[in-house]
Amino acid sequence: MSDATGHDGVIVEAQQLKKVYRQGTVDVPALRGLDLTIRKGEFSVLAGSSGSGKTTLLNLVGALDRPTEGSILVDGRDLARMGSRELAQMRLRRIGFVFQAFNLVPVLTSYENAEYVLLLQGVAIEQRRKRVNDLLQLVGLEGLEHRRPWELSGGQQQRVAVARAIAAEPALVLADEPTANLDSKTGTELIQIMRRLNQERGVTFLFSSHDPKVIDHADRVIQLQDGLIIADSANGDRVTAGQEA
Amino acid sequence: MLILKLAWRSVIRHKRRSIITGGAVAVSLAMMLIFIGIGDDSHARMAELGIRMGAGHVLVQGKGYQKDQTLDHLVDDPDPVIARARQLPQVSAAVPRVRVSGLLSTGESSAPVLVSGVDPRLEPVVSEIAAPKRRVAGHYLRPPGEMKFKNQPADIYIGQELARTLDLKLGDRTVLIVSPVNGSSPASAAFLVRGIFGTGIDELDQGWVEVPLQTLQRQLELGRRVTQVAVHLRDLDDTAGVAGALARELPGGLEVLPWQEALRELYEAIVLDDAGLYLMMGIIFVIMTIGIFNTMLMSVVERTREFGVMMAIGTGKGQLFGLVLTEALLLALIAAVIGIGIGLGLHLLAATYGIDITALAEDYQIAGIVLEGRIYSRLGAASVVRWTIVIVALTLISSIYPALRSTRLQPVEAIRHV
Repeated sequence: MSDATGHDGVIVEAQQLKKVYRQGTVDVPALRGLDLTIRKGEFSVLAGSSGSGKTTLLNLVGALDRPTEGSILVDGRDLARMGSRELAQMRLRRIGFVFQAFNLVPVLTSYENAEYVLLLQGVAIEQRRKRVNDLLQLVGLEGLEHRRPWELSGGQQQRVAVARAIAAEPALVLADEPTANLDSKTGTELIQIMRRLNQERGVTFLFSSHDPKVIDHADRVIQLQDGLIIADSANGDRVTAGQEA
Repeated sequence: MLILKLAWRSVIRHKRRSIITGGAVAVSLAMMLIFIGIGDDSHARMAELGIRMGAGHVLVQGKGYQKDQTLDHLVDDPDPVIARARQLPQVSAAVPRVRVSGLLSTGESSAPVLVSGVDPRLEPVVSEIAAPKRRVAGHYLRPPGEMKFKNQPADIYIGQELARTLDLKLGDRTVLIVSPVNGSSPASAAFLVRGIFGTGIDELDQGWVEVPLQTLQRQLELGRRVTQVAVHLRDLDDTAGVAGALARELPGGLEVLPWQEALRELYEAIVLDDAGLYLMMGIIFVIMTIGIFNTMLMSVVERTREFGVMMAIGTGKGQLFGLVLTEALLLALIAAVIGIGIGLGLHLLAATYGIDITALAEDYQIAGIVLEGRIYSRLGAASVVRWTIVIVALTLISSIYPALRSTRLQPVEAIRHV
């Protein structure tokens, strides 16, 4: 994975991050000014109930949305100062995504979905072929390269999504409830794959979940409630909210 | 390549929708091609017929004649004009003529006529009026040198309605009264009815007479001068080129008119008829464009989530815009190929077998010119290319808004779209 991380291996650094959605005439705060630091190689989970701000935080970290207030640096670059084109480049080159509903491109095969971001990056064909075949093997999809998404099970689709997310060797992979649409066995298998990628390849993962079995696999658990971090635990040790992990 | 692959698969993803939309485009193009083919052929036939009804593809006249139509504007020496015109490879014939208004009298009654002094040997080659198929009775004019007796009245060739009005029959004697060029008192000369023609065009049948050129020149005291040299071409499409060449090369004091100017009424009627065709096709194209717009917009709205994901993983707005337009382009190109195939097939059928318009003669009358028999299809490569470009361009234009809409999506909202 990329070594182009910020100082002291910090990949994400958010300060006083606020996000307010406007619903009609009412302002609904989703994040209320939280601080967060993610370092290279972490395998962290954002935990919390529905509406706690997990997805909003992932969207902000993933350059999919802009904060109402505060700053957010990914890979040393301030997302708030970037235009939409730069944000798209950031997502293409530095961030990988795994979505709850798999969200593969339906007209592309497993192989082509995994290859997609490499094509966008203009990676040479030989290099693409080698990397995609390697990844599909790593996530256990050998022999299913030419299947379209509707020909795959949910677990298989999510494995393709993981392969796609890490194909471009991003600095960070974000996964929003990646096991929510999978049965517990398949979900556990997927988390194990992600864990192995983290341990063997040093891929930094930040994912959200409210499934205790998934949360148990994480090195670090960041507990959100009402748009604030209320607890941050690493290696089983509880850390007070706001302190570095 | 990626965009092309995605676009192609998106087009074939909804086969039925793509077939219906592409089919509409293909049928529109095919209709345009066959209508243009038949329209161009019937208009070209009408133009040729009009040109052969006493005019020419290109007329060389004394400067100002077209406006005044008097003997004040003459071609003083027609021979160099005829010689130069005949040197051009596109020219099939160049004939001198004198046109003047006159009065045809039988002693008991008279009628105003337009007199055309023509070369009796050359005119049947270029004129429909002089053609045997238009002859109702008798023969065409004889050159004065071929007359049996020296002082015998010259031949006159008249329209059938005029003959009826003046109660003239073959061999009857009639007097033609015209005003000579020098402004002296009207000159009259006797003629014998040699032949009667019927063109179906009232203006000609009621008031047109032809007499030998030399006889009329003598009567008008013109010497060798003529009012026009009519240049006939092998191909109607060469008109502008030949008119331009003659205008450049002939001496001043002459005006060179393509048939579009010489037969302005006919030309404007053809343009108007074309405009009607284009208006009808325009309406069909508008309906087609709305259909494509609707299809592309539906396709984009349906894929809101897909586009959101593509944006989330780094696809640029320009790439999404290009993707939607490429889908439209692929659809248009496939439809265009099919449309050209159908259009050319119909064109070949119409060009080979023709369409009998005998029963529709009323509909095929423009500026008094009536087409008869069969009409065919005449389709040039330029027309096929032009209308294919129009169809493809319309498809692309109608896809611009859906394509722009795809770029305005916000990834976060688009991904949540159900």
